[in-house]
Amino acid sequence: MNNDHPRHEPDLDLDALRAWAEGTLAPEARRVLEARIARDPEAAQLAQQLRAAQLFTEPLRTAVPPSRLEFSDLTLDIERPRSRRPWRWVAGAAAAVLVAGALWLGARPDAVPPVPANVRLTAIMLTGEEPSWPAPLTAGYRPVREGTIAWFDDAEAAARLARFTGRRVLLYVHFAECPLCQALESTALSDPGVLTLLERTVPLRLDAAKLPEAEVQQIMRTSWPYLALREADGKVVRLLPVRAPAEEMQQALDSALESGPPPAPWEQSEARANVLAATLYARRALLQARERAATDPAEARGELARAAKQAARTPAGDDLARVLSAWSDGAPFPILEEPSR
Amino acid sequence: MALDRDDFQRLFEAEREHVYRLLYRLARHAADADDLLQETFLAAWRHRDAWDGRGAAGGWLMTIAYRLWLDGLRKGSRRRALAADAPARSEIGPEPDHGRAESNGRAASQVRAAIEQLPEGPREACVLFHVAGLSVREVAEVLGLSPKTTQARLRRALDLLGRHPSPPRRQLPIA
Repeated sequence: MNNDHPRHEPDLDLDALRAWAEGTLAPEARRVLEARIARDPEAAQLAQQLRAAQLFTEPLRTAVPPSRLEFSDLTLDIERPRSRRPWRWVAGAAAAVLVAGALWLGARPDAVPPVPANVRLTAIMLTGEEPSWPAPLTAGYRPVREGTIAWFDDAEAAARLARFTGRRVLLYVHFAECPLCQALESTALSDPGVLTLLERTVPLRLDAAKLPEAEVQQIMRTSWPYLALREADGKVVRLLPVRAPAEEMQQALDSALESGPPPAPWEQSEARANVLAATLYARRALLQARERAATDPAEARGELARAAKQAARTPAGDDLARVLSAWSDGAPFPILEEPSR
Repeated sequence: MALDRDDFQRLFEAEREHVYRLLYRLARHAADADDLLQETFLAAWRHRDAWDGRGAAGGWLMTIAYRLWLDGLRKGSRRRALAADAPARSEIGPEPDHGRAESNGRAASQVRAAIEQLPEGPREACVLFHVAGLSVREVAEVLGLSPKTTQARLRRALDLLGRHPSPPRRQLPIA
């Protein structure tokens, strides 16, 4: 192989480059690839591009929860005999005669059309604004996980969660190279007592480098690093001591938190968010099924059944189950009555 | 080779999570991904004669899954899609991602917007390779292309994504 003519080398393996960019390439393969990158400018450029693309697309590679589909969910369909079996043709022909008869009857002026059932919903509102909730809650958010603070970096998102859970926001303004910030993070903000108190807050960490210059100057005149307990609307409850021992921080935070109403437990807020999520999901499924029922009732019924299964054991799931049971074969989609507001 | 029910159950158990992973990354919604997974396996069962039992069943299933997802997008019957701006990644039940979900959601929107601007060929390859995490061979199988053409499309996507502007960096204040 001639190192002066890298274009004669084999094509670069994008799978290997991706594994290299992710740090999962086996040591020997990594050594070979890095040697290639070192001598071949095209390889170096591609490696750089691929690493950038992996970093760039990282927000879309979300963690994948386990599937809820079981083989038993398929068995009704797969155990149905295949349509090419002779008796299926006979059954098909008989069904066609019945359908033709039904159509003929339906065309008669004195034929009675099937009456749609009435279903009173108890949880799903079909009109008005869709229910909303802070997204992190349905992802199991907690302010402290395994001794580490799960900081928000978006002030609006933190305020939304604080309002929903009845908490205050612990605002921390820092920047990466600030030694005082690092000291604070390794002392008071790692202290077990302080971390326990943080369960009663929504921690928000803002990078000073991303804030307007005037705001940073204002903050630095007040305190640096900046750590304050604030209401969800931004009103400061208490500025916290950032250069004092952890015990002092704990006392200050404790007394500041005591001055407000006790927040609901996280589990309770999460359950409320999950009910809202299920309600939104069920509402969309119901509206979609109602729309589709006119053109493809079988598909609409199937989608509604799947949605009812997903939302099972929630009030909205119960609504879907009631609609399904009231919707007889061949009848129009039930008339839905909303719960009183 | 025709699959019987037991073969099919084994195939389901072996490939379910693999195919679901692809669908979840595409649909970004657990319920939609499960619906698509069910449709995928039902379609595979209906067309089980099309698989000769020698090739990789995973590739065959992922091809079906990808086409069903695309069909759903075209018909507009899916609530969530790669192109859509999803406020939450899971509507029912928790996901193992703790915190920063909303800001991640915003970053994800920007990435999706950038990917949406790619021409169709590189875009499809990019989504399957970078987002769904398939190998080049799997992407080629799903798209019905040769691995060489797939590599070329991926490199084109890399070129185009490389021109996407990064967020500006500001001067840091000094403590």
